[in-house]
Amino acid sequence: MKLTSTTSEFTDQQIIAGIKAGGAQQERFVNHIFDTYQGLVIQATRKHKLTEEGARDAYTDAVIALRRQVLNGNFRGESAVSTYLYRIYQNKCIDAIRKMSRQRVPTEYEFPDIADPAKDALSHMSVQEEFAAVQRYMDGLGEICKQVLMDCLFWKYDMEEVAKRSGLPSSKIASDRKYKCLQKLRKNMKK
Amino acid sequence: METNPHIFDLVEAYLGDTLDEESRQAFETRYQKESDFAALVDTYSREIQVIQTAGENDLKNALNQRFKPAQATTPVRKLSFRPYIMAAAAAVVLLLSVFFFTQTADQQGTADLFAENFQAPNFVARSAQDSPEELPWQEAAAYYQAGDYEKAAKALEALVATTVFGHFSEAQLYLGVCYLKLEQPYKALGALEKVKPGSVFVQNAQWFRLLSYLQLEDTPNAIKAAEAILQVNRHYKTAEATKILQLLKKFEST
Repeated sequence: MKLTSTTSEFTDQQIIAGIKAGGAQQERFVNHIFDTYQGLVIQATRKHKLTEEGARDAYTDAVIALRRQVLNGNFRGESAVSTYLYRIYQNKCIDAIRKMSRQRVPTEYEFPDIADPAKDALSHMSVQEEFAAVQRYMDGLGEICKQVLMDCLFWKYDMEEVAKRSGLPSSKIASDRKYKCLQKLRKNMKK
Repeated sequence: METNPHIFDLVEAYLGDTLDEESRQAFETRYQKESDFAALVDTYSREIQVIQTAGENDLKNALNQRFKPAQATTPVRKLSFRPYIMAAAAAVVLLLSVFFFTQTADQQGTADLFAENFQAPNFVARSAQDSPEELPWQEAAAYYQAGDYEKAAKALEALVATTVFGHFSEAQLYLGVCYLKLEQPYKALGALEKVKPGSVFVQNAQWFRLLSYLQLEDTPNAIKAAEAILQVNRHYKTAEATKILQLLKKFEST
């Protein structure tokens, strides 16, 4: 199974730089990767006998993991973006198979593991517990706070854009709001 | 506890791997030596992690909306052929491929190659905030997206004439594409040559230069442009350029 038949209209350099740039650029390039390699889902349903839903779920997780790896500097373009995504996706598919069958998957299917350090602090929780806890913390923030924090800290928009997107009058006010919202989040996390 | 913006931004930069080596080492030393600082860092890290997790949940939902409609996924039946049947089948496929390839090559010309390979890239204008060019830049993108390449070209020409314009190379690339759409390959070449060598758009410019020569039906220069692409390590159009080069060499020899 190869990716050579699927070509991206952007170079790997552009994709990595775009994701690292944050904001609208990052959204654009993450969407671009997601759209370009969607064909992998059909291939995985055949190769791994996954359901379409399972293969799609693994694919979305793989694209998100790729974004994370670019942002935290673990992926700097040593291999092609497509190859790297393919490896992550294979591992996600194997996780999905394990989850389905609860049996050990033969090792010849496995690719060398790509470290994913994102889950440390919440790692004592199960995925469902973690999801519920995060939802609870964020839901208590209110819409503007949630958007300001997401835009600043997840999407990495600059403060001018954060202010515009949240309807705040200036970047200074958006910046003050960010720290106030963080305090609110801290309170929610202590409850 | 109030959020200390300075320390929070430092933690964010540390986790985002954007600190330089010296600052990173200073951060880690301080973390080991100062328990108050370490406690703050741990608190802020947990907050950032909650936001990252929430963001990824939201992103996952958004990406799931982008899946194309489900395609039929009929299970693949495993077939067991005897080796000699497989070899015979492979030989037939090979012969048919060679036949098809030579027939196609004979019938095709550079113009056909252009039509097969030319696809205008998406042009989503990145923000040129706080710059007087913001509006015309967005305007050029809007014309381009609407398929009005003449107006898009005019807007881009005006932009690249402004010496302070920050997206010069990107604009020259899209200008080149507009000219190709308008069947003005000489102008396209002129614009594409102005994409700056250090720019991230160099590989795109190389690809559209090749397409410009195909539109011009200038086989010798198209060959040179394809060879230039193949000299670049892991060029994003290596596969396409290889195929075009093979066909161009065939045209030249016939």
